[in-house]
Amino acid sequence: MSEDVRPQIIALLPRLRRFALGLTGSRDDADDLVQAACERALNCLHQWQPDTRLDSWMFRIIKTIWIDQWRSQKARGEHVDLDGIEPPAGSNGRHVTEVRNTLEAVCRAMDKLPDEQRLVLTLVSVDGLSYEEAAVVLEVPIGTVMSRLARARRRLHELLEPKPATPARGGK
Amino acid sequence: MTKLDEETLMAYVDGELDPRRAAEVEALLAEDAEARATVRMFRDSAASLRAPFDQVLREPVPERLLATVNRPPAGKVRDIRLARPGALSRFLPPTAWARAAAVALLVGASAGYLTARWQPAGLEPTARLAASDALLNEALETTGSGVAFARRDADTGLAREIMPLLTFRDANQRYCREFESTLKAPDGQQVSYGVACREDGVWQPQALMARQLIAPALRGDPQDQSQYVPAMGGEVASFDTVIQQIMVGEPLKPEEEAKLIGQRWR
Repeated sequence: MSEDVRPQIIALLPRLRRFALGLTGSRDDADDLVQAACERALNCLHQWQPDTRLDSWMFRIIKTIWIDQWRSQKARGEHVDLDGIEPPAGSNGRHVTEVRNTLEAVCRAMDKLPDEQRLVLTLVSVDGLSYEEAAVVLEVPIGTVMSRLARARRRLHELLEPKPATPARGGK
Repeated sequence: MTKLDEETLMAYVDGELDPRRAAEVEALLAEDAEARATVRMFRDSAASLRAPFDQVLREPVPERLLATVNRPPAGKVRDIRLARPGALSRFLPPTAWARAAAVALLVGASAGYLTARWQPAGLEPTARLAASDALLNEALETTGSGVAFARRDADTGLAREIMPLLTFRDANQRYCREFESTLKAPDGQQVSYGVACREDGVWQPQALMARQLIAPALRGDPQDQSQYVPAMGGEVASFDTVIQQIMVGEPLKPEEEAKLIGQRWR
């Protein structure tokens, strides 16, 4: 059974890398995290139920490693490493610079979020999972997903926008 | 007018509401400027993430990740080499002890076992295996036998790959693991074999044997290890004698090993 899963994991790698980048904010760390997750997944293949979603299972492994090991060992620097970014086909250098700046800015803002908000934000707003799918990965109720996500989005917006989030005349 | 709460507005933006509820929200939005601003905020915040991160999907996946997933399934190393008691001695040529004596320079016995370090004359190792080795510790703590654990080495900046080969108990009921550690430099690689035993939550190297290989051809296919394994055969066999001295009982089965990894070796 383990043999069949490998091509499926390979197919997931781009999404796993994007998810890990959302969590770590560093491309090297993201790839290290994905690698650790693949190793663990292959070690623990017997724990995966073939009738459940492989992507949710892999996301959960990444989440677990990130929380258990990564954050505690992360004394090795908070820099955002975006040098490895590849220009998309047919784009010019200026566009790449813009994307790089944006990604860097977004990652820096995400660094300021609490772990649980960053997780749900990455799952839903970066990867596009539904609230229900995110709740499965995070093993929390949907209501928790929504409240964390709403807080994360508002905070992110405040961090990325120089102006206050709500228009002046509509203040609370 | 009922106030729309923030989470409902977010769910509306994210397409999580059923069509009827979404229509209700739209009707209320028409007369609520503050709610419209909140909707814009949720829309903007999601949009600011999507495009930058989607970039990652279009990049080629690094080779090392593909190699990790494509590696032969766990258990292969075990099957070939040291799977069962008896298998161990079958792999030992009669001259193994003589070879061991010839290639291994036996240094002090820090933890009661042999520390054997071998390196070819005239070649400096690209890096030493240190007594405290955080990467090795993490690899042995979390990785099944036959599965590669690959990281950059913090001290040298080189790629390092650690593959546990076998798990067993020693006379003190400690868990011990044999491993292969490969340090990849631009001009070749250093392959080390070792045994580490877990004590007080840390994997302590007990015996180490290192050799440096200068072989640019090895950089070709990271999965094809056949190129250097035969060359190592003799030394690996001699290293087996070290393991034989330490191992008590049978090597652990993959299931036992996986369970221990899951329980953090408790």
